[in-house]
This record gives sequence, structure tokens and C-alpha cells, in this order.
Amino acid sequence: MKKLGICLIITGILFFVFGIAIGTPRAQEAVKETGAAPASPSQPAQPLRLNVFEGGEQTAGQPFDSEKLLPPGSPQWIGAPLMPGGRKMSEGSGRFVQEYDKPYNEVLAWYRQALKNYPDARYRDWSHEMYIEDEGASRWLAITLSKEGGPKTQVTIVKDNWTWIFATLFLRFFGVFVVLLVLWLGLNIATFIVRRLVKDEKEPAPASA
Amino acid sequence: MELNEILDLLHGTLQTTGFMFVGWKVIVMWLIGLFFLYMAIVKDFEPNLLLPIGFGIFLVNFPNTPLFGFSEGHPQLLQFFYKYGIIWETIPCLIFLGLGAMTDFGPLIANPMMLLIGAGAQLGVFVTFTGTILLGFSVKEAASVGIIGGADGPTTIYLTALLAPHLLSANTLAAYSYMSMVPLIQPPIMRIMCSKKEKLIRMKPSARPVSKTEKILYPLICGGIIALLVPAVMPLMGMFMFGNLMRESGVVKRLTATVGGPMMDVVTVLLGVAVGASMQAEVFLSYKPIMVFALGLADFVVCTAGGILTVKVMNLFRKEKINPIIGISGVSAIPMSPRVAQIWGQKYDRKNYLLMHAMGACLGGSIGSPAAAGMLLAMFK
Repeated sequence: MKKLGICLIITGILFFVFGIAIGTPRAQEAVKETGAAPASPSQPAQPLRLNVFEGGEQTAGQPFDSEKLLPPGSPQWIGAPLMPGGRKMSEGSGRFVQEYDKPYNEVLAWYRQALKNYPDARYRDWSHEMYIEDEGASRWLAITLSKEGGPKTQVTIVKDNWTWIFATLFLRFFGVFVVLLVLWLGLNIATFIVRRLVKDEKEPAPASA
Repeated sequence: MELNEILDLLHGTLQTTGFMFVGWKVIVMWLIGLFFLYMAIVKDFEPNLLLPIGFGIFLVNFPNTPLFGFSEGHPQLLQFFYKYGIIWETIPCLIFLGLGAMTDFGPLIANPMMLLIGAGAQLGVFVTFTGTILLGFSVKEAASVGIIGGADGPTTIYLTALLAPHLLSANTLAAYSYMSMVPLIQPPIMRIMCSKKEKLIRMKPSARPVSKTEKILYPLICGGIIALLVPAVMPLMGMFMFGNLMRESGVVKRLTATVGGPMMDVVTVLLGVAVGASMQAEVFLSYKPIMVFALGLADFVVCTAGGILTVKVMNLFRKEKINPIIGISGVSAIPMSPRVAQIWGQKYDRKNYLLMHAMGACLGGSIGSPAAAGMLLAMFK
């Protein structure tokens, strides 16, 4: 039992050190992404509820197309709402850029209102832009609102594309390998330590005998 | 009393029965339910799961039955099981707790390299994701369908309940159906992908003995690493590792026996009947659930192939070669898949004992599959 106790302490220390090393940048990133303070460890994490309307029960979870939620005749690009009154900067098959003579906060407030009934819009608050990602069945991938234009705000709508899908899939498949490789490494280290301890405990025995 | 009044009375009475609402969709669902019951009772095909699922389908598709709806805002009996067991992700986590209490990670600890086979076997999850999107499913639906190939029922339920609850019954059924069809699906893939020389690779019968200390440390190390790397999947993995710690510590034998025995049985019954009940005609009889079955099969095939390919890649760098037959066990269908690997290994060489190695790969898959689910969940977080 002594060796078990030592092993438990070593494991605890390893996790503590590893946790600090990994946890700090993650917490900082969380602040950057959400603009909120990181949750304290005692605070319960927000449950992941992806198909819930505000104040309602979980829905059947059918994917939405934002186009169906827009009022008829309202300005849009491939189903993504377009705030009226801007100047078109560029338009291609996969990207649409429009500029507004309004500060970022006003444009964001308009988009929040326009997408308030769209449950599959995910807001990612980055330092230089707000990235509104579609997780539903819309044809657009993201609407980005620039933050660094002062009185002007640029809105970029990007069409759903396969590059993103393939890239994210490759990364995630690779990620599974990384997780299991780290686990493999952890197991090897633990095995090494345990076997050394067992050996160390066994070695003196024949000497004393 | 006039004739019209009598007819009205009869009509009113009939309206309270189910007769007036029986349609072709309901009859199709009864037949599906009866088919599952037949498979369970007559063919002995995964009866622990198919029997409750089949009866759930049969029961809930009778019109006017107060089973799966809400009465004055309160969930009815099967809706209660479904809501609090599946939508709230309680049952999959409890199943993982029980699985942890029943699993011996010894073969994996003895040969941690097998973890990589479990990772490689997740290939189908990501390939199917792409195919599913091509067929017009949303990203969330694609993620939930993709995980079927991991052959991990509770993980499939967990992910689907979070991302695409309307596909829950189809995904669950596909996952468990393909798990029970491992002896039919995997051998042809293995025969096509492995050369005769590879099939004859003999592996040492047993790896090194694993000490109790290592077994006790394993759930702590594995749980800790997964919690740091893929926190989204910790409700499942945390319970898995907790169950395993209870088992390996040896100090809570009564609890371990309960968690791995009676509790698992209760949870399996509730899971089966709730999943079956979610298969209502209006929800189930559409093109998507049927597509899910087709995609799930393709997924399972690619996952099996991914496991075999991983072994082949590993063999390029190893002196002591691994028999690629054990690659089929990279999916987490315990114990069916390792058993198939053992049987087929011995068909080619009677003195080749692959069971424990295949078990290691399968245990790797049981970690790899939730890890893949965590990766997919992280996309939406």
C-alpha cells in the first residue's frame, strides 16, 4: 500500500503541474472568446444545450435555415441577413463584403436582433471581430463583424465551404490520435514509475535474507 | 333518445379508443416493433436491448396511449424515462459507470500501444461525417450519425441527445444493430484487407502481468488526461473511470457488484424502452432514419478498415509485427469484436492466440470513441 500511496501522490503532482500548464492559457482564451471572467472551479459548468430555445423546452432539434426566418423581401445574401444601408465592397461566389458607417456595437445589436429566433447561430467574440458561425442548415458558414473600424464596420458573409469541413475533420481525427498518444505516454510513465518502485521494494528483500 | 344522439354517443365513445386513429404508419411501426421482438425472442439477437426497444416501439405506436406525451405539463411514463434518462444524458453516463465496473483494462495497460488502433478505428466517424453532409444533413446531424461507427452505444446516445435528438432512435438502433452484427460485417472486410502472410503473423500469447497498483492508477491517469484534453466528454469518461476505480480498488466490492450488475440491468431496461418509445410513426417514418441506417453501415465498415490500416502503418515501424486481424477490434464492440478476431485468427493459424491483444485494441477503441465524440462536441461548444 505504501507504493500505491507514493504513486497517488506522484500522479496528483503531475496533474497539478500539467493542469496549471494547460489550464492557464485555456482560461485566458476563454476570457478572450467570451469577454467574461473564467468560471471558478467551484462554479458549475454551463450544461451544453444546443437545441434549446430561450425559455423553452428542448425542441425536436430539426436544423434550421436562417433564410426561412427572414421577413419576406428583407435584404439578404444566400440566406444571411444583411443590415440595410451599407456599401457593397465586394461580392464573389463564396464571399460578400459590405461596409456600414456605423460603429461595431450598433451593427452587432442589429444582427443579434435579426438572428434572435435562429437557434443555430453561435457567437464567438474574438479580439478583432465578432464571428457569428452557423451550426444549422443555412448556406452561409459565418458572418464576421469587424471591430477595428471605429465609426465604420465591415460585415463579411462567407458561404459554407468544403475546405472548412475537411480541415476541421482532419484536425479532429488527428486530435483523437493526440489524445490517445498522450494517454499512451502517461501510461508508459506511470508503468515505468510503478515498476521501478516495485523493483526497489523487491531488491532489498534478498539482501536482508 | 333519438338515433342521432345514440350515434353521437357511440362516436364519442369511439373517439376515446384508439380505433379511430389507426393509420398505415402506425401499422408499419407495429410491424417494426414486432420484428425486433422476433429477433430478440426467436433469434436471440441482442435480446437484452432489442426486447425492450421492440416492446417500446409496439406500445407507443398505439394511438391515444398516455405514454410518451405530456399530461398537464408533466411527462407521461415513457416520456419521463426518455426526458430524464436520455435527453438529460443520465442513462448513457450510468451505463458507462457500469461498464467501468465490469471492465478489466489489464490488456491495454500491458500493451498501451493498442490505444493507437482504437484511435485509427475512428476514421469512419470522420469520413461518414463528410458523406452525411453531402447527403443534405446538417453539421450537428452529421456529427451524431458519424459516431455510430465507433460501435459505442452509450456514446452514440450521449452525442445524439446533445446534437440531434430527433435522430436519437434511428442512431441508437443503428449503433446497437451493427454492434450485434459484428460477426457478419467485420470478417469480409478483414479478408479483403489482409494478405495471407499478414493473417499468419503470430503474436506472443500474453503480454506482461499488470500489477494492482497500475490498475488502480489507470482510471486516475486516463480520467485526468481526457479531462484536460477533451473535457466535453467527461460526463461519460468520468463515470467510466469511476466505475473502474471502484472495481480495481477492491474496497467497495458490494458497490461494484451493484453498479456492474443490478444497476446496469435497470438502466438497460429503461434505455431500451425509452429509445423504443421515441420511435413514433410521425418521427421515424421519414427518409432520414433510413439514411442513418445506410450511413451507419458505411461508417462501421470504414471504422473497421481504419483499425486494420492503423495496424499496417504501425507494422511499418515495428520489429515485432502485429497481426492486422486485431485491427477490426479497434471499434469498441466489447466483447464481440475481440472474439471475432480470435476466431478468425485461429482459422488461419490454430496456435495463434489473438484474444488478449484484440481486447487491448478494443479497450483502446472504448477510449477512442468518446474521445472522437468529444472532438465533435468541441466543434459546437
